[in-house]
Amino acid sequence: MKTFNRIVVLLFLLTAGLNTQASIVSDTATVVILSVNDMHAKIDNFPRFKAMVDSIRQTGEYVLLLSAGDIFTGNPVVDQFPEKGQPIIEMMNLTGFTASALGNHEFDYGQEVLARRMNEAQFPFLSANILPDSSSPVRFRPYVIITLENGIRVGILSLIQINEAGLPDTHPSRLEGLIFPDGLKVATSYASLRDSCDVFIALTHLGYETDIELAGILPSLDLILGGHSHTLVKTPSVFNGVMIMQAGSGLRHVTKTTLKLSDKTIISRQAETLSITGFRKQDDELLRLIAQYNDNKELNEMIGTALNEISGSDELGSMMTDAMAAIAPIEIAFQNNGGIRVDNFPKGDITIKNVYQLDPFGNEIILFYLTPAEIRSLILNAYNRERAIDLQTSGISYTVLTDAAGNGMEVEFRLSDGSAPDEEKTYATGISSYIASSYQFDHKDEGASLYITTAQSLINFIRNKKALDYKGVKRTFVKAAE
Amino acid sequence: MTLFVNNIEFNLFEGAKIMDAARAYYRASGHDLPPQFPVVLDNFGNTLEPDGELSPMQRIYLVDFQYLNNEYENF
Repeated sequence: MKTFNRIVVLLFLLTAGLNTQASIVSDTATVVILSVNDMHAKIDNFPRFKAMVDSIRQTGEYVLLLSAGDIFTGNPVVDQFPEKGQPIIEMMNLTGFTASALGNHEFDYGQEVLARRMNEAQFPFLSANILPDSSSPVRFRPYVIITLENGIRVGILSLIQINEAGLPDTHPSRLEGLIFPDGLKVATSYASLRDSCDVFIALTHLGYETDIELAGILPSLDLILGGHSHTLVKTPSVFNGVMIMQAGSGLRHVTKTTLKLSDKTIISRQAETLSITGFRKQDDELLRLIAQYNDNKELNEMIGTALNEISGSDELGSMMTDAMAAIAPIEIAFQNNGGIRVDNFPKGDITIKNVYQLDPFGNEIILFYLTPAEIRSLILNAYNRERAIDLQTSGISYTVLTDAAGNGMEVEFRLSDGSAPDEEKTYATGISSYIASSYQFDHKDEGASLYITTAQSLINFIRNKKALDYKGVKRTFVKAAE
Repeated sequence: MTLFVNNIEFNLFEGAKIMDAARAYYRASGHDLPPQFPVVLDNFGNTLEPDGELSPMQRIYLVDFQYLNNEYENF
């Protein structure tokens, strides 16, 4: 009897133990957050990415999918689509994004286009430090609180980078009607959001080092998922108690953060970076869509006509620099011969594809205010790299005077109206980011990007001019010493 | 903006990217940018992509495996 009683007691204890165990299990939850950043319109990996997300969703109950900004700009297929940016919005909708931060490049197509893309998106665009006035067509939510089926509330606050001029890195003309308070100052005013959620995330487009500052001033955050600096964080780091992650760029990697909660309190955080390109499975529907987008007619759209063949560095370079000089406030522009990648534009139709074949590098236009002496130093140093004309130009014509050995010694230049430059004046000079960083020249002005690519300037120029004739145009000369 | 590449100070235009800083660094050291873009690390050992955007006073470090390999071959 005693033995029977002991067994009953033991069974009771065991059962009670199991019940206790069961109640603990039901009170814990795992939340998986997948995050990417700076996709820059690179849609080609979406079929693998969606297959990966779907497989993680099959194994995890609560999976959120976030983008930390800069979804646009970087792929002509998306950037030149008739409704700019639409293909990546469609990809993100089909993959089931939960929210996206605003990045500086979200403004690259202009606010009207952004407003249309936001209307099509089946997820919110977030930013707490963009304040539109009544003239702006865009409106952003500063944060969103997602309540999961088990009642766990995930708060997502978003912030965007601003530069020393107080604006995100895009052309200021695209930002009219918007005010950008400093993200770090704004962040602290949302500290109380912590009390309204169980998981507090900052989905930022600030850059990794600013994310560390954010962790310093807002330690109530659990997690910062960042973008902008294209940092690939392989080993999770915790600053001031806040874990900070970022997944490179171009949809090559995704951050998988796993949060375990007990009684709606985080008891563990783990993060890892997964390779998307290495994932074998691909989503069939997205594969078909990508093939359609990549085989698009838009890049074959006729944007203008060459009245005669535009041939050689002089003619093509003159056209390219005229396109740069058509952008205010540029008066003088330069293009290096190495950046001219086709021999000619045949007489007849010019397509967007022609432009990208001519100028495939994605270089941006950098504006410098240069004196005539500084312009001469640019031309002369460029010439002496190969002892040959290297820079094509708009706004001036120039002659390099060489010594008997062929070394460039002096430069004479005239403005396009034939007059001599004013030696006391600085001229708004546009050069590519390649020249700006690779060529040596004197310049007091530090220079600033206009956040428009040289290729885009040429597309705009050809569209506006409609018909081009550069037959026989030559603006650069060499004169040997006598 | 001022930034540091391998602890050397550079002044680059506003809006410069990692690849611009790398070009400026190699230009200053008298080399061409190697065909295989160097691995770029930040102050915390994270990898930076070439098209990544830079911030004023940022420090980055270039690890050029091409030159490292050449050095090993010289041994």
